[in-house]
Amino acid sequence: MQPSIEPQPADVADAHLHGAPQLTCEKLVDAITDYLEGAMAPDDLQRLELHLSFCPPCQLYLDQMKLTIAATGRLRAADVSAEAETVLMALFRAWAADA
Amino acid sequence: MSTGIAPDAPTTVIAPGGDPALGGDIALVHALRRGDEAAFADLVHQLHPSMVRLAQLFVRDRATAEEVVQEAWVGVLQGLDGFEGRSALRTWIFRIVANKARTRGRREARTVPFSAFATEDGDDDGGSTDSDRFWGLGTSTVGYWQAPPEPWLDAEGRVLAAEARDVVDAAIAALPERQRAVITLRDVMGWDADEVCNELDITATNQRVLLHRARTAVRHALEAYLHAA
Repeated sequence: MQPSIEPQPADVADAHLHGAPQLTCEKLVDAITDYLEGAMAPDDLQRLELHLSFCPPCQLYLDQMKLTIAATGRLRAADVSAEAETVLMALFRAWAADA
Repeated sequence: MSTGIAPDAPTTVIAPGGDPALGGDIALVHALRRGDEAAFADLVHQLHPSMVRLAQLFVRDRATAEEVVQEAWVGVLQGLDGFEGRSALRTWIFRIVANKARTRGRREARTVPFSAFATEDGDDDGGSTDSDRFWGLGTSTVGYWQAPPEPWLDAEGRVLAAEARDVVDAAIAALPERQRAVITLRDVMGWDADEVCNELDITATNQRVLLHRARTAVRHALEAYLHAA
């Protein structure tokens, strides 16, 4: 079903789903978080996935958003400063001795 | 906490008939009560950075956040005897941090002039995609990309590298308060949507809007960084 040439916007604008207005790139970008959260109504989801299937820039935007989320997740793995570690271990020993 | 457990979660011991994660928590608590230093060091390495990030949502200053988290660890140790495993250990610990940080944040707010505080208006910052990247009204292609995104060369390699982390960190630090809170809890710390809504006392829709704006801003920062090279 993939077109062999990049569709022109006018072609895309003509492709209706059940007579409903075509989802534009701008609307897709606005809805991207709802999409990733699984919070879209079935009809809207269908329209969005259809649009993705023939709009490479939007597919790229989605991929970049996923990469962004992955990059953000990498922030979790940070180090504990040696100083903090020393203080906390001392705290633990003092507590364990009393317990 | 939900079963969306971080990859660095402790290995679990399954208590008979019990939730595997819970069994692991109970075993860990027993170890801590026995004075097992390795178990405590392990727990610190897993949770401390996230605890500091969480505290920073309430008290921006990092040094203050570190102080608050140290106090929280004291609270954790002192409260261990009473930990019954009704919630996950992580959840319980984060709750202690959030409470202490919130209290400290409120106390500091009283000493700062009112005008210094940003209102929640910052959340209404569109911050969303520049609408001039799309064709506007009066064109036959209204709403379609005029300036589409360009591929990020060697995306996976560079985006996941250390320098990109600094870019993401800075982008998050620059966000309006509630956007910063949502993206930190969801995408940095891996909390699920319900947990975030409970913690921040916001609706699911609010949460999605804030997350959307925050992620859009971070993606934008990454895009600028990757194009600048």
